[in-house]
Amino acid sequence: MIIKELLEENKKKCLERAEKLPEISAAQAPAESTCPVKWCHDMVVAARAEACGKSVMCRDGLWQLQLMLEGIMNGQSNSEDLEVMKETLVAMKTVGCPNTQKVAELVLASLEANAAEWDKHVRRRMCSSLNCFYSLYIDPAVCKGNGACLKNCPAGAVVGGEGMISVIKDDSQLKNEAFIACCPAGAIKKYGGPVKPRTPADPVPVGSFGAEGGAAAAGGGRRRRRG
Amino acid sequence: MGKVSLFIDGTEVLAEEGMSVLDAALAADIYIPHLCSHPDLPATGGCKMCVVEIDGEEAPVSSCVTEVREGMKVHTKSAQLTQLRKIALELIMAGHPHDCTGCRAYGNCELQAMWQYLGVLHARMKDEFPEKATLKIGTGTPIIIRENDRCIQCGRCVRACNNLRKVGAIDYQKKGLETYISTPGDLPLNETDCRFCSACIEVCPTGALVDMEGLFRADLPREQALVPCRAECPAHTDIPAYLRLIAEGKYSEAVGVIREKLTFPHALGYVCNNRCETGCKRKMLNDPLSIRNLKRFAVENDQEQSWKEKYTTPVKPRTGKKVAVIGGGATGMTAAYYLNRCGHDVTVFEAKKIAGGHMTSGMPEYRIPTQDVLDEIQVIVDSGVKLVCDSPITNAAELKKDYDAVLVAIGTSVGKKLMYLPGATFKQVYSALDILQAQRLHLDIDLGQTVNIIGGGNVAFDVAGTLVRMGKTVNVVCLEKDASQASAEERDLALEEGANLFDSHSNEAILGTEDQVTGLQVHKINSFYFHPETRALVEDAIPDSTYVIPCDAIVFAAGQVTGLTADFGLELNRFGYPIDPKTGKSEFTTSVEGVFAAGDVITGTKFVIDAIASARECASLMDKYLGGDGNIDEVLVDRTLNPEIGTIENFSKLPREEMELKPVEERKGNFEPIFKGLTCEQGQCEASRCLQCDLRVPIQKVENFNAYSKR
Repeated sequence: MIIKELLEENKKKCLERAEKLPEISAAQAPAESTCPVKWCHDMVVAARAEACGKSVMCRDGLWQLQLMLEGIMNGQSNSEDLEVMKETLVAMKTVGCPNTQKVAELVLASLEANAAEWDKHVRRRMCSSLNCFYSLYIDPAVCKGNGACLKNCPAGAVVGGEGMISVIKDDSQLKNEAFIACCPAGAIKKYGGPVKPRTPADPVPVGSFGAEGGAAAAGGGRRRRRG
Repeated sequence: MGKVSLFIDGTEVLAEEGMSVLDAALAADIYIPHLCSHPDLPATGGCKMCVVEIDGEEAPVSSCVTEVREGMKVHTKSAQLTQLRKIALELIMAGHPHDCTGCRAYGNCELQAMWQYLGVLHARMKDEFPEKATLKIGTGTPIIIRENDRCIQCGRCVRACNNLRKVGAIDYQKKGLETYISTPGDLPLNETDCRFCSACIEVCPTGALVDMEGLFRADLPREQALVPCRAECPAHTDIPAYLRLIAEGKYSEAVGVIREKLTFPHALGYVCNNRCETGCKRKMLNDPLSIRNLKRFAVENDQEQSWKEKYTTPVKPRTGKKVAVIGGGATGMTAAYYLNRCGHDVTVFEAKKIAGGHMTSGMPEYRIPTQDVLDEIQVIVDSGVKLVCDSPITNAAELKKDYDAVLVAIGTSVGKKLMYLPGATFKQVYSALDILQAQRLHLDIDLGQTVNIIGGGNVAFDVAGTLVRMGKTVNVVCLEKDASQASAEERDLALEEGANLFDSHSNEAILGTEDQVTGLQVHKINSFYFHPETRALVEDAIPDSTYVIPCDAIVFAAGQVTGLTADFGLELNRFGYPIDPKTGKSEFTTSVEGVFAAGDVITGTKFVIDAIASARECASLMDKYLGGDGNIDEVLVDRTLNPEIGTIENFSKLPREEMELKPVEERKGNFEPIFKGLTCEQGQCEASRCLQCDLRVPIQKVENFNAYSKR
């Protein structure tokens, strides 16, 4: 039984939702400034929040897309998963509702424009813009030893004291923008890849590390393999 | 509607204009997978299972929302379509639990059939299941069991509730980013506009919406079991149909619907033991519908009797066959009506001065007024049945010689007396039937002032109520503590009206002489039971508690028998019930060919509704014996089922309307009915409480792939 008015009403609302989605050019932005995976993820979440969820592509398709993108950002996806995601995107683009089609087109455009960056995420667990796969360190040259980081972290994750350069012992609970922003001096910094910037192993007085460590902090630290 | 010709997978298909490609293909026996589409619901194209390629179209489209066009070339199978369907199904399965065998829809699940058809496993997608925030919502609802975890959000239930029923109790909801199906605010269904029609269950392709366990009988075909009141009624009266008519104020049509199955609607409205109400699904919400009282209400408000002409005009040509019916009770009159309708000439021989059997002489007048029964008998006489009263038949086999068929429908019209009790042969020792008959038929009976009734069942209190109204002093003597054999209401009514109860009493002897009873010698007991093998009474008597309850008459309320002897010309069993020697059991056929039996005379004392059901069955059998087709079905009222039930304010909380019991002062001293009929407002309100379970039956079933040859 076809009731045209019902179908047209739903389609009209869906088109209005699709209108609000970003332009294709935004999905093609260079990967150095914006992580394409995160951009796509945030876009999908925003689209899900608006979506009516009445069709499978709109409801489960967007949900799967979100889960798949989160998998990539968390390093839990392999290239097979990426292929499943691409298949899903093609299906969404082919038979999805207007809103879903637009989302799929945006992600596909990103995959095409920043293929290397997506590949880097999936195969090497690396992110050029340090949105994903980063670790935190406290730059000994910037740290003023005021202890803000100590107040904003679970016990034992950061060690330090009054006038001492703080040292992050375990960043697993700290990877969020709020913690990074809690340092008034901006000493909490991200780094990606296998090279950890040079920091003292334990708190030392402010100023006592920077002198010999200035050059080291910029590059040549101790190399270690990621697990 | 014009016809459109199109090609589906190279086969030319003729379809109605405006039809969807999916429907056209299915009608042409070409299977296109589909999950969210349902033949009774508007299509949404949501599940993407039914995607097809159409020549000239850029991308595949959902065939359920695509109208057929002249010359259209449709392809239902291709590598691309399979891929799209698999992806869509994998997406659906990602949010669905994997434990098929633990699901109540197992083996009856369209999703299960779909993944068997497409061969999809859900291991490729990320499991949405542990993330679902809406799993446990709405699990506490009666009648309709929701298992949200099994929901695939196809939206059929939403469309059934909104578009088919115009109720709108459920819809797509969002919690965070998740879309799910629920009531607004996740309220339990009984706090929404839900009418509990269960259309949502009927259309659900999975096990997400299922009937509460135990609502339906498992021993009946599904379409019968789905309407429990109708299934429970021995005559299968179309109860939802007449309740709907009552709710609309169409009382005469309602009576017409009742009369399609029941010959004594008014009598049943008074005394039916309403087994229909035990099946009523509404009992799970608050209380079952008051179906019996609504029957009485409909009859008493039926001004036009619009059914009458059709009802009393025989439809079949006369056969010239002659049938004699022995006994003008519910069984006899009912069978006579249907046999006459089948074209046979029927004469009913009634031994008493009026017909009606137990309805006019075996129950108290205040429960079932004589005139109301006689009016209903008159309808049957008006239809062409010949009724001869005051004509006892002594031998059925002899009577058969003058007729093509004879029906023995004499019921159990002789009251039992416990002859082992000393004094049981005294003049003023009666059975319960003797008393009720004497009152109903205005016969002389020597009772004196004080009457002791022996027995503690409902009949004992029927007799007590009758005797109290006759101005007697009444003592009910029974073994059971609190007369627990009787229903508490019937017991209390009689006690309230002035009867005395002597419970936990055992009888020793009736005292007095052959000509005059003077008392009943009794003793008190602590407890008793009947020996499981010998059936003898074993009692724990209280020592030295023997005394005499003085009285002028004794009444045994100890059941009834047929009173038949071998003189009747039929083979009987040792309890006096006719048997068919071929089986040795009491059934419709007897030892004499052409002599049939029905009602209490083969079943033992039962209810009026059982008598009618038995008579209908036997009449059909007799019609076949007489050369007819045995079809006694009739439609007196044309009905169209309107699936759009809409909403009723506060529906699930509407209380059951009860008839008003007259106060004891008004009841005493007269034989008027003790309950006042429902008022029009009450009656319509009560009828509108019906869940209309029958509306679910015409909802079409979706066929799985294996029902189509091209798949």
